[in-house]
Amino acid sequence: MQNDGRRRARARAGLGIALLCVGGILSACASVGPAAWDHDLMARKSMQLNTHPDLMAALEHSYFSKEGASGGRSFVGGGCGCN
Amino acid sequence: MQLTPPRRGRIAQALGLLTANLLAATCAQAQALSPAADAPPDAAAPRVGVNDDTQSDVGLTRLNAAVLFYSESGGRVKATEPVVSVTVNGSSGAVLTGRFTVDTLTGATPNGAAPWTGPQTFTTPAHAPGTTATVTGSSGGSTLVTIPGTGTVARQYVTPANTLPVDAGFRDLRTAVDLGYATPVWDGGRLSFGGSASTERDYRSYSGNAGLSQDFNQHNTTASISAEFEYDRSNPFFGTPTPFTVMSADAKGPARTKTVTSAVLGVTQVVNRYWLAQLNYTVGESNGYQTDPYRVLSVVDSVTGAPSQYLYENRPGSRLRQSVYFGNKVAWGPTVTDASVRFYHDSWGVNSVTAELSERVPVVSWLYVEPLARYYSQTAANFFRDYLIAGQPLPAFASSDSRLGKFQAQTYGLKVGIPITGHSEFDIPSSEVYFQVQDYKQTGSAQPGGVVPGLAHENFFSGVQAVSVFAGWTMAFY
Amino acid sequence: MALVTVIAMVSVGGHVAHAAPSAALDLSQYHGKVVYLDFWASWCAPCKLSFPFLEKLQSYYAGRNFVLLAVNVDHDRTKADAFLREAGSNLPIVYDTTGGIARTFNVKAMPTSVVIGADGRVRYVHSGFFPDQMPLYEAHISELLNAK
Repeated sequence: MQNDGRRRARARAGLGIALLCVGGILSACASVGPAAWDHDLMARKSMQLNTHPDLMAALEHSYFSKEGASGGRSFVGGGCGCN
Repeated sequence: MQLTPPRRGRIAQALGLLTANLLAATCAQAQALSPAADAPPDAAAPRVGVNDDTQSDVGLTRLNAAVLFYSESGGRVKATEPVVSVTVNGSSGAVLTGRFTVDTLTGATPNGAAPWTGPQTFTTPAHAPGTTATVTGSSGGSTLVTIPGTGTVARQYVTPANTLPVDAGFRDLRTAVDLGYATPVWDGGRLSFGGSASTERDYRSYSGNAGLSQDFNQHNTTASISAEFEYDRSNPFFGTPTPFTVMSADAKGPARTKTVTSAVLGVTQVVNRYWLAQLNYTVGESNGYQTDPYRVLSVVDSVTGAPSQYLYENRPGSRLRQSVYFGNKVAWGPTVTDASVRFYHDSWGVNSVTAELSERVPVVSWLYVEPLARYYSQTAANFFRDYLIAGQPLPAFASSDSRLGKFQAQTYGLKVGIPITGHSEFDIPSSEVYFQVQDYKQTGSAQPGGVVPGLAHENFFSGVQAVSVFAGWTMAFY
Repeated sequence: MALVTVIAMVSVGGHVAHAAPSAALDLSQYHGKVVYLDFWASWCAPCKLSFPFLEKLQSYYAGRNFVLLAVNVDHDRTKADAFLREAGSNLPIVYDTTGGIARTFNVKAMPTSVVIGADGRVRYVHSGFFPDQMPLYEAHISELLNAK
């Protein structure tokens, strides 16, 4: 029980640190990156984060069934930055 | 809809009137204002290059069909997995996706017992509680026997000497449905929802997720947060065994459940014109039944290694998982490099590192190849045991599942894509056929440190070696 | 949604416009006219969506005091030309391969439309193209045309 509580506390601390990191990264990112009209390469299909979602899903499932670790990816962001 | 009126007056004056005369953007080059009709004639215009296809599914519907063939060596799991999916893209950026997957699985899986110098006989229930139909039949070398004096029908199978025990009666059909919806909600903000359900004969899983992302910095930075809740119900063919009880043909307990709550925090950054980077932190907690109901551990003699009994395994009811993922995509001329690394830690003591690298190389306008390599390494869970020793006190938890053991894995693969149409933005419908062949191999030590003398020549490593072929087709149309 | 319409009252005087060498855009010749500057690229999906709308604007306001200029920001002009050919468009195009004009107008999203009044002042900036906002975009032009 005590162990459980400690683990939760650690998880909360981890989440807090992660949020701080995200905040830090965001402010560091504020001046990084190309102009809106220089997103031509980002607009390429080959530069998308998940070019073949069905394949990605099948591979992730296959790894999940054999390995102790799983997850970690996400597919938001990048792209042509339009609109 | 709120239209901000033009602010006039002092501010405008302070900022200065923008007169047409002042507006002339400096010209170091000749004026290039021309109607497109003056553009070079068709003959001079090149076809759009080999890697210039842009991601422009806005307003399009995309249909996908694919099939995965998966085969583990040594007569282990074989799977055939057809997938169909559809993505409907609204003209204002809303995206609706649906995916339907069927997974047929057959083959043998390690039952968790240790190999031994003599043959080993395993006895498990043959019937689901309250039924008389045999659930796995007598395939894979199993036989049905009646336990003397009880009338209980059992399924038995024998593992030859010096062989890792596997249960060949494994057969399952998994069907899964995934739905997702994402929509812009405000400037640079997107909201997403998703849900999935999957069923196997002995397992059901339901999950729902919601996410929010926000673009900053002229769409160069995207911050996202998402949360998922999953509910799983494990209903083993013959019921749920009580952990650390002796493997037997007796009827077992009722179905068990677990829940998984997880969250992902991410930042995706367009670093420069060529480089896209992503950093994600994932945390998730699983609570409930996480033990494998079919898996046992051998209890062996401390000297000879002779198995005296087989006990059902036992895992903790709670698991906290954390990972950090750092991914990159870089456009080097026409090729694209995808490089990522993931660090993972969980409260069971599994730490792992995953590194992936692929390079997409366009060959001609209708063909690209993408070789890929992946390295994975994990430490063992702190309750991982290859076997238990007779006469010693039982640990709180124990499992011999290779997924919880120490091993490394290498993957080598090759993807080949053949865009059939769609060399320009206007070739609709556009489609692509793609294939990926992959070789996966786990390696690890054959024996635990300080192995029982009688088992010194056995190979305990039950890692997987698998080959998979994925063939897919995708088409986008209005 | 207020987000798509941002009012820019930026001074784009000649002295701040010494950006990278770029295609020229001398708007002085359009003094007294409402100018609709549309920044677009061949790789930008919403730009593609906006083309039929731009064509419509061009023909609808043909007899009025209205000029539409489509400023292309592709690095490679041939890509823009291929796009225009496929789109069958004959809009007046300004090629801005180095982004100098886009920088001058502080373009923050693709596409971006800058609506300039007859007095030469930037009156509206449409950041992005959203089909459901077309009536609004059009209203801005009408308002400026009728302002005289």
